[in-house]
Amino acid sequence: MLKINLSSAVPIYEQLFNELRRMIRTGELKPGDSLPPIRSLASQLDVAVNTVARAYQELEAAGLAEGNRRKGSFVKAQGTALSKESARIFKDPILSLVQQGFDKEEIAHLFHANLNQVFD
Amino acid sequence: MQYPNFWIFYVATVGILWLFLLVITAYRASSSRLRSRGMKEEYVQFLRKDITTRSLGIGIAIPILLLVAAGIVWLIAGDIHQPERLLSIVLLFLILVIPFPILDTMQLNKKYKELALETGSETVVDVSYKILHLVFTPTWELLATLLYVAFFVAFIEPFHVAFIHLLLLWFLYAAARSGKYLTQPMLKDGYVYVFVFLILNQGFLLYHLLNVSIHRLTCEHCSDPTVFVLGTVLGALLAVKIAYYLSRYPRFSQALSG
Repeated sequence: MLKINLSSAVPIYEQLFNELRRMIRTGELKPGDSLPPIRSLASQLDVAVNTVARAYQELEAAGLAEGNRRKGSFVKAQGTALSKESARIFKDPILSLVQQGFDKEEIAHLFHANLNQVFD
Repeated sequence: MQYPNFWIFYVATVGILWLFLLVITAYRASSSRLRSRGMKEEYVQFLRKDITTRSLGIGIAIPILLLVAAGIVWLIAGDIHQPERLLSIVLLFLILVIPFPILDTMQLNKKYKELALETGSETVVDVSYKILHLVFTPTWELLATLLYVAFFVAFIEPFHVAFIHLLLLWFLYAAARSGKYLTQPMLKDGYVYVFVFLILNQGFLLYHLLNVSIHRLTCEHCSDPTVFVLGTVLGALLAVKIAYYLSRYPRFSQALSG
């Protein structure tokens, strides 16, 4: 499921790019899956065709998708290989924390605290 | 079989409709239910008012439109009590109803956009309707619709009441695709309703298929084992389809929560 915030300061095309990237990385969109036609997604989101086209261009530039003039855009294989690996790396420590009695919120809190430490 | 005349049909339909609306409005407009879905207060207030207004509108408009459809059929055919006339009334009524949900959806989408902007809420999109297609595969449904129509037209009657259920099936699918600027709880709620009605509707379709098939086997004057076999095969396919969609519900629900 794709999430967009209309009142966010982040441009729609960027939100769209981030969401599609998330979907590719989490395996919601698998390698070889066709991305929805630009016009169809623009109509679903009620945004300009150019907005979706730009997000697709960004995805192609990031190596997550590839365009084909006749068949449209597809998810590149690399995207899912990364997502499977990421899922495997994350899953074991999470399971271990669950076994130690941590609940979902505590794990999320720990994750964010560590993430902030790395980036701050 | 004794068919009811139009007025009995009308009173029964309106009675069932009002009862259904009363129950569904009380359930859907319940503020505690809406809040438990994680909806913001602005949405709760809007939806409560909207659901109640819509139910009142439907409760008044549908009986009037049924009368209008009956009036048109009466003017053309001069009789509204024969079973085939009743079916014409229902089909005409469905045609008369079509513009209302379209206009309503346009208005509603506009309001949802305003609410999303006002509250800064995230809106969600089911990309290419992949989640919806877990419980309604359009290519299969199209094929199934063609098979059912061909069966009824070739062996039963050109306009059978089962066609209403086929129409409703596509109407529900179209309605599920038409919502825009929905928040996650709203999309989930809407899709779950559509799923429940899709299954119920397919159940009615199954009933009609089995009813006509068994009738053709037991009927003294019109016995036709071929129709019974074909109808039973189609009924079995429909039952498999319903079971398949039901088995996909956990995945459907999980995807909606994701």
